[in-house]
Amino acid sequence: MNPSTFKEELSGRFGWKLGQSQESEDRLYLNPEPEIFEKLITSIYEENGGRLATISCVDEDSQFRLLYHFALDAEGFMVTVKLPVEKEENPSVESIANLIPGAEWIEREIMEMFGIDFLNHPAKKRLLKAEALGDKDFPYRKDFDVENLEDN
Amino acid sequence: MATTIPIGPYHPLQEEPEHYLLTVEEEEVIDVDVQIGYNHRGIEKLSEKKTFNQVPFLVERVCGICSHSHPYAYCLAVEDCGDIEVPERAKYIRTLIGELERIHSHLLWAGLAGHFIGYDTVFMWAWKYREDVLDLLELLTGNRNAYAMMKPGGVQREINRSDLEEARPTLETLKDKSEMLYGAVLDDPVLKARLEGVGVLPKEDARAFGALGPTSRASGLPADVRADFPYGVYDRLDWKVITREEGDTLARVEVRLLETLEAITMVEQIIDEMPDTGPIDSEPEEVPPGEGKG
Amino acid sequence: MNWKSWGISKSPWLYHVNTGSCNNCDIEIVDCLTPKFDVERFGGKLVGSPRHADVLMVTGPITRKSKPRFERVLEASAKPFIVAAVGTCACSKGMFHDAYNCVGPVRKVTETVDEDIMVLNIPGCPPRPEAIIDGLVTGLNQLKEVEV
Repeated sequence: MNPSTFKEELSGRFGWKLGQSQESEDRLYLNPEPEIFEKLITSIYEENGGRLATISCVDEDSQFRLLYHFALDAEGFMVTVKLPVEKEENPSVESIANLIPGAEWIEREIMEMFGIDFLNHPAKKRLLKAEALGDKDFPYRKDFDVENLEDN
Repeated sequence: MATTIPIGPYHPLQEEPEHYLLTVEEEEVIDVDVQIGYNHRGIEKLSEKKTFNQVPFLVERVCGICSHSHPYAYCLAVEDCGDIEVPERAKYIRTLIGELERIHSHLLWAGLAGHFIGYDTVFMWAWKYREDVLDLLELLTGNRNAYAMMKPGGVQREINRSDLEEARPTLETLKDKSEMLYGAVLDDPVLKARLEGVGVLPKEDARAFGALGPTSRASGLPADVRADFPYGVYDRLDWKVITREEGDTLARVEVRLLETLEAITMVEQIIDEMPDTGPIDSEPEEVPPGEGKG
Repeated sequence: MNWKSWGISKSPWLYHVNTGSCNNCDIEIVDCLTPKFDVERFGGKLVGSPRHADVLMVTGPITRKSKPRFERVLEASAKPFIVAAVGTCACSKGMFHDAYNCVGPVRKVTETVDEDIMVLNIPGCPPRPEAIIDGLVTGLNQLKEVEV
């Protein structure tokens, strides 16, 4: 299997909702509609033996974008699922930690550093952030004020 | 009747601060609550303000023991994003330093594992043999631990053929000493009694939690990024992926020790096959905005 | 010098505190115990509790989360003691001088707890084991001139 044939297989299942995709020799990027997001993740993880490598989050000034990276070790290529999240008062997205236990800590870090809420997450506690920083301080956002932090 | 035992942040066994709150019933640990973040210095945030050539020095200080892998991953991601070609000689030099680092890191791990269970002889021997590898790294790169060899597009400095030839007798003696040390560790009945059947990670859990490296290979998952997504010159060398099925601590010890011997063979192959002439840096001008993976 | 400073300088017992370092300096400190460099010739050994320590070897730029715990270690240590800041990050924050999560080198934090604590600076990234032993021995020789 290579990225093109995998994309054909997923298109057969999800149709136009799979969205636009970019392929290269060993990488496949997908931009699905939010409503098929969970089924797509389940398909990659359970039916195709994908391994969750990591979840990264990028602060593009008008919105956040979450990227879920899966590695299909046996086939030798990686699949990245991109999900935009709007920057509003309390941005939120559905958690995948109940399906993939390895995502639990990664989502905890994104919650406290970016401020994106993951709904139905099993254990929403602080992991990394220092106690001196408040619950509304999100250090990884681009507009976080670094100069005027107190040295407490 | 469950008791809670707090361990750390500052504990005689730990090199780094972490806090574990263990819930223990008789001799079994049934739950653990972890607090990390004492080492968080904000390296990702700092890198936003640096140039592409300054970031490898910063990223090297994420961890001192694996200080070559982090800038390697960064340089591969930048080169993927900007479609930058890396010259042949640079690929060989990068892989050579990476494998030498693997040898010193696994020997360090073996020594500390012996120290934590009270077997200080293993600690002293493993770290004594590790000094030969660190002297070799200092001869080739200039420093024992943070080598500063990586930059996007190639490597920073040259390695002379005469220095490489000096490495051969060191590697020969290191192979004999490693085999002796590992035979002593794996044949010891006390160590076997303490390590066998302890801390078992089943295969399905290893995949669900996203385990990687020697931990996953000891649980039966043959995931090795050097073989699955080859980079550097790993696809031209003759080596094998080492796995075990049991998933307990003894399996993890075995996987690491055997990987050290594989690494010594790989370094000897690289010294044989490396071209002596050629550029070491392709000097990229600009990297367009985009995404890359490393 | 008085009998206290003579006592510390004779056989210093070391306690290692990592306040957020990358581990380079920590393994060089542990390297000092191994057969090639052997700090036990000078009577130094690593102990398991700050209450037994004469010299606190501190590494790392002090991160925001480590700072209150480090202050508790300083209060728990048996007086008199000296602090050795090992590595560039502990002496001056080094590469992380503008990091948002690092609050000041070791000297800045010990001064807020007690102004009379002596701080030895051993720079390097990481300092070689020979440099650590040299810095420690030089500092202890200077300690002999002082009333602790």
